[in-house]
Amino acid sequence: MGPAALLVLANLISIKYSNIRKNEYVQGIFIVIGLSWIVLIWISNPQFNNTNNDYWLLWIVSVEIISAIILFSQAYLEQKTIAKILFFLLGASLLLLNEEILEIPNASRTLFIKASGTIVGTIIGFLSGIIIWFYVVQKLHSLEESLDMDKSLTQDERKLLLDKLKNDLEWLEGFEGGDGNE
Amino acid sequence: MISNGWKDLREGMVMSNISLYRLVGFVLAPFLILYLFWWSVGEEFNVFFIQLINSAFSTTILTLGIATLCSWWFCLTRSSRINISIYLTMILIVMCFIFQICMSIESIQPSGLYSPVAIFLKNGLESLTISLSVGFLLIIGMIIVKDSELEEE
Repeated sequence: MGPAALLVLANLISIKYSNIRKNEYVQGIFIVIGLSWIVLIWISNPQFNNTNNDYWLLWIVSVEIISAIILFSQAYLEQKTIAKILFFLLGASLLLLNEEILEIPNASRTLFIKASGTIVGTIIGFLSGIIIWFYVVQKLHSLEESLDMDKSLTQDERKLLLDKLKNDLEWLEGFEGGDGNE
Repeated sequence: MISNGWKDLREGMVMSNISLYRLVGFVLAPFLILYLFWWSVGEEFNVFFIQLINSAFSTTILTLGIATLCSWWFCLTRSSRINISIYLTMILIVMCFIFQICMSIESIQPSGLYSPVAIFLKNGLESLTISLSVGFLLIIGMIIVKDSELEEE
């Protein structure tokens, strides 16, 4: 809750106090403290009933993987060489947080492999669900027969149509007259 | 609509001299190096494929379930045509049936879980956890991008 509250505060400051000078520094401090707090929680190895919380570990590892992907993309798209190297090193260091040789608490290769499998599977599942949905809707729309106009009207239809047109014309004339009276 | 968006993206990337394949290769290379190193050390990769298959099935069912609920809602409250809802419900039932058959194969069952419902619930929760982490990163990214835009102004 702590890191989330800090990040929400950072967002609120950027929205509500955008005119105040030095606003971005306060916001930046909130973001840095919030993210450091998350890293500290991860390093301190929180336990619930003397066991690790699987979902919390999965969450943090998936945050690391997705952040690394974003940082590597940023490194590729960046123009300046120094910025490229910096982004790449940041991404690589995030990946290395899961290397067991470095003896960081909670670092687990199996968890990293499992989390990457879950991320890829979730993306595939989400895309296939959306594709099936769109395909069904599109296919059912294409099966609909387009409306055909009758070549000739029957006597009753012709009378009905002409009456309708006559009524419409009368309504239009009355509408113009109404405007004039006002 | 999707193909147009994809075409625009590709055209934009070509205009800015960015190769999509190189970008994907650049992003995936560090992961591949790390996996190759772990594989050479003797790390097990079975869990990756088990997790991939289970998550893909569970997320497809979850997405289709939400789509089916939405279509029924549109049908019952906004007078949308009923055939879309019926087709989606039928596909969802078939998907659940296939999932049940697949999850009875021992080699793709996650360790400690034996019934398809338990596997679906666990993978559903894991997929939601992943979605939460994506949401979290999007919020952080939005704040940072907004900051840099303000600085540029």
